[in-house]
Amino acid sequence: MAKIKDNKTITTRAKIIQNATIDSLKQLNPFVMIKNPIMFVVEICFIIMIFLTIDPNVFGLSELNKTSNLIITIFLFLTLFFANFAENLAKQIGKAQVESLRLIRGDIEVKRFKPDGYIEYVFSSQLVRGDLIRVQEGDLIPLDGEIVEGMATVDESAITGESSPVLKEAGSDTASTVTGGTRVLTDSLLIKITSEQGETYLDQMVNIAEGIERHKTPNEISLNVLLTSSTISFLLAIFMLAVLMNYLDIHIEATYLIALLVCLIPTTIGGLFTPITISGFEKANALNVLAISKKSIESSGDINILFLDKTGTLTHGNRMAIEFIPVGDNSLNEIARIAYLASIFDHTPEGKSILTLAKRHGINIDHKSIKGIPHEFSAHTRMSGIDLESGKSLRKGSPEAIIKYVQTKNGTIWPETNQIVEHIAKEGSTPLLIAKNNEIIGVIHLKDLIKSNMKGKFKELSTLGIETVMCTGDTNTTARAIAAELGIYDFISQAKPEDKIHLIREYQNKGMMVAMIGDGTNDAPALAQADIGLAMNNGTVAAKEAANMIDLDSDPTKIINIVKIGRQLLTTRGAITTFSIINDITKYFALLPTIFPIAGIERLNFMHLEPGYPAILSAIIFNTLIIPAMTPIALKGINIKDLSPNRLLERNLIIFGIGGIIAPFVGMKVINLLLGGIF
Amino acid sequence: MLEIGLNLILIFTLLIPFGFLIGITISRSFVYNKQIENSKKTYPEKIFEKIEGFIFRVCSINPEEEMTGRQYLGTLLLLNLIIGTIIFFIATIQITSHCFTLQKPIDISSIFHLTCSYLTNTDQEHLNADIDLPMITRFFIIPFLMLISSGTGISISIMFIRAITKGIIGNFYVDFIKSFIRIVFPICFLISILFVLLGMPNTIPKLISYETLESAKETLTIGPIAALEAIILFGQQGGSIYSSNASHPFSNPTYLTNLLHIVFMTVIPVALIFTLGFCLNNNRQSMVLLLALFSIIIFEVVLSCMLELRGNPMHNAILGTDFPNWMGKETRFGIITSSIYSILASNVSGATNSALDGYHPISIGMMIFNLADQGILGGQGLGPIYALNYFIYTAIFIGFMTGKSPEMFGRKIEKREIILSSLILLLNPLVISILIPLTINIQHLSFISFHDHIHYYTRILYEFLSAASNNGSGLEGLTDNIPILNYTLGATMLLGWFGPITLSCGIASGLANKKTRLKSHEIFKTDTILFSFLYLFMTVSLTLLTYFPFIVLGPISEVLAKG
Repeated sequence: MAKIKDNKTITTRAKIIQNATIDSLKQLNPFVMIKNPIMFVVEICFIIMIFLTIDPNVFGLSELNKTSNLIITIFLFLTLFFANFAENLAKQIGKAQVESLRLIRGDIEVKRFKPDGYIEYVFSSQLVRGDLIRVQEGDLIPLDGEIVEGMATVDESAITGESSPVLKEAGSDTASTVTGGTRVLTDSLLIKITSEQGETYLDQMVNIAEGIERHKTPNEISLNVLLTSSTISFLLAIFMLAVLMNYLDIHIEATYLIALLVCLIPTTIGGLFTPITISGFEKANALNVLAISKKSIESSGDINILFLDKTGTLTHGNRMAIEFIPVGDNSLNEIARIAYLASIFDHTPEGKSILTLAKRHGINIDHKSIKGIPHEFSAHTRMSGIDLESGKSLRKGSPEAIIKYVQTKNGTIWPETNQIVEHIAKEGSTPLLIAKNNEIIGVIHLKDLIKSNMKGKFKELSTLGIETVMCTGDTNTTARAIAAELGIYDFISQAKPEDKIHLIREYQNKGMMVAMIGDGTNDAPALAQADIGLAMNNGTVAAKEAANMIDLDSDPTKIINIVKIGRQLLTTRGAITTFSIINDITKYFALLPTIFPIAGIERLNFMHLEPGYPAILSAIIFNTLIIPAMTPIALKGINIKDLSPNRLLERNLIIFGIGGIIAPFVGMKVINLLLGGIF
Repeated sequence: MLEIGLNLILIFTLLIPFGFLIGITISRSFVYNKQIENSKKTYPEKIFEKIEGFIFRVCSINPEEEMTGRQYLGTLLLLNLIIGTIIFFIATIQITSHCFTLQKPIDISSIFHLTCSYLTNTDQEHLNADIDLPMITRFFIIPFLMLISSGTGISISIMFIRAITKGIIGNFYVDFIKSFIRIVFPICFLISILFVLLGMPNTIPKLISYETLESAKETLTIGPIAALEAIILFGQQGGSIYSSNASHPFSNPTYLTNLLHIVFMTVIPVALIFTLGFCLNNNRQSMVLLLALFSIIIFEVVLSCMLELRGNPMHNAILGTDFPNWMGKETRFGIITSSIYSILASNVSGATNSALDGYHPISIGMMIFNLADQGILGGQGLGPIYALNYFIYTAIFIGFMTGKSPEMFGRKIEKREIILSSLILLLNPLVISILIPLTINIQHLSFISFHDHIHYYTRILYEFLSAASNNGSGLEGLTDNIPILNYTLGATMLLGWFGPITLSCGIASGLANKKTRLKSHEIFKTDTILFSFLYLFMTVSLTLLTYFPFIVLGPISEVLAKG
């Protein structure tokens, strides 16, 4: 979203902090707070501490005065505030990112076709699903839709950040949908609206950022249960302690027990839980990946198998000429020359590749010497060529078009032509025919070449523990050759949609998590069946609806980044949980000996903390400050590199496990020494 | 130190092969029995099959019928409820009908406590077995309940292991009957023969009156001691035929039987952990788990022996001596074997060959820790379930640390499993933290009358924890046969036995229905030393987190207060 950040309307940093502060205070409402059980317990403690501040003797005679209790109360308040602040900061940053997107899409006037065929002017807010509208050069497309008619270039930079315009065309499998908020640069389009106000991709992005549609993911729920149960067990322990102390006639300050409880329950993760999740989605958004369900980002960390289409994903998607095949009594050199001439005015990548191949056959013609009427490629004729001054008309194009062209001229079609065409098509490649006047003289073999960087990507996927399955229309032999070359785990050749679903199910039954990348309508069932369906933005409406993630840049290799984000999200959350819990245990063991009024207990005070109130206060201060200290890590995420699970665990254990032990010792001791200077 | 080492080596060299053998038997009988061809079955297996077939036909049980987790649990609970109720009434009739002469009247609350105690494999005793109870109750009712609880425990843990590894719940009736035919009866038979050979009496129950050297008239009970002792130990009951439990010369005549006591009472959990390995086709997994559990045990044993050998510093300081702590220990066995016995018994059952009350507070603290943990070998049946429950927690921890959804043996651990396994961990602390204050408040005066508070509190804590973890040992010295304690402890035992059974059925049926995933290189391996270390860390820290204040208030305060 580089473009948006330049926008002057972006909410400033100060404003973000201001909003986050206000929201944090609003969130102190206990009815809101109860959603987060850990912080709710802290809030209850805070309320009890207010009473203790007003009258320190509420729970029996106390040696502590109002000021001491007040200080603890203030720090409990700060703990609550910092936890809320981290969450709201994450929300506000996300909000700011999409706020500008919202601005793009004001209420604009559009031309709508009435059922009787007349055009009326309405506001975009009045549009409903199924409406037909006409957009022209310079118009903003109001809502997501499908192109019914026409071809146009569209600037999608507002959404994708990609500056080069995209060609959109009706009927094509990959480029027939438009996104609300994008702008038509040339030509005009007739669009059928496919989403309603508030349902567009843009709206979904805004919603996710604002946390409106916050459904908890399974992993989140699991962790929540875990944290809640540990909170309950600590509550029990403290409750028991209070009762037993009473029974044993040992006096312990209520303030100390409350402080001990707050130190014991995992407040660090309690406060940072939501920010970690939100920041994960923001990272996905920043990658221009739209996660339609929140579950999908997390689940992507668990993918074992990745299904992808060969065409467009593994290969360049635009075909390259690799061979000229003469038919009849024509020579190879002749065909190369004709193909060259017929392609001079063809500026598509295919045309250029024909020139390159011809040059390799030794054809070198000065362009200036060619005189004739060029026929450029069009979607209607599906062929291109040149009518030379010498009267020769040279054409190249799709087999059907050329055969039709030749037939109209009563030309000759050599019998082996069809065989060659079929053979090439069977290999998964594309045949083009070359015609000279009324004779088909040869075939050009166009092949979709494998992207040079793909091999590296498979290696990367493999280190992430993800095996790739290739879906291709190629024959078995071809597919096997490609799979072996790329190091692909499995493939389906001559794949029909039902074959893909079948194989996906098979893997799922083995307990694997399957991701599918697709863009065509024929991919839609497979996208829906897979655990993670990633649709390309230039894909069809059906594909996008079936998927649970949409890549706005239409870059399939991005799955690697998505997997990494998913895994990073889980790892960050897990590591901070570990840190938080180990931290609490350490604080607990350091604190207990300083507040238990049992003879000889001071021998366990190996930290030599100033016993009693100063120790409690330093623990509470540490507990409060660790939340803002960890917030940047929570928002940024932990670097997971390409480590294997075992290595990752070892590293996280050292950093967050041992760190969790050392940090409170050092922190509490330092604060204790500083407090010692004051008291 | 050498003696401790030799004792431990001796125990482990007996325990591991024996556990391994029973582990094979269990996995062949309960998990793989359908896959084993008839020709490859051993001779005893063919006989057992015939006996089982006969019983199934008579009881019209269809052994092919698969139960759901709910059905399995329902059948188990119903069977236990029916047997428990019937036995409660029979015992009430026996005790209150005046057909048998009793030394002193027995309260109904004691009968409730007794029924709960033996039905739940706890064997906590508030009555003196050889004085208070009629012979028929001692030699028929109690052993019957012991067998029922033993069969229930073995069945539930086999079901759990089978469900999480193979995804099969099985049939409770089949498991229950098989556990007797194939495990309990044959092995107890062999053990009792061995015990008879080693000098334990085994005869028809009767009282022998005799005159002592001081011309006092006394009576001595004898009966099928060797047979009962086999059931008591192998079934991890720990109950007693004589009120001095395993320190009585008939129950435990020699040093060798003492050693065998230790082996037999710990063998079932070890065998079940080996069964887990066989079910996973991965014996390394069992080894890794046992490594973690044995290291805790070895640490505890060594520390406890050192403390006992050092003696009571206060006594030694006054007397200017260097005596070890002989308080409450049997001279025939000595300090080291007594300590090993007590530490291991606190993990698995309530058997004891010395008075626990006389141990060093830190030793008692470790016993309390073992009672609280329950997963270090643990009680009949529930021990391996607790051990695997800590496994679930370790898996969750690893899952979170590596950014993967947690899984156990290829099955995903989700919300339901986490809730249930948290409940298993929270159940006991919840029960005792409600019941201890309640009991203390109701019975306040009678407790505080004497002794210093702290040790008294330790005794109450121990009593409740022992009931909750179905161990049954006690620090004694507590006036425990009073209605309030009988009722609260009875309830604690029922909750501590059937609670985790219910919850583990939930976990098992949840995990059994999960798809397993293929082995792939990126799964975190759970059969490594690193895992063993993490497992040990989780087991210890989860227990300490909940119980540390309890332990600090009790044993640790005692040490601190007394030096």
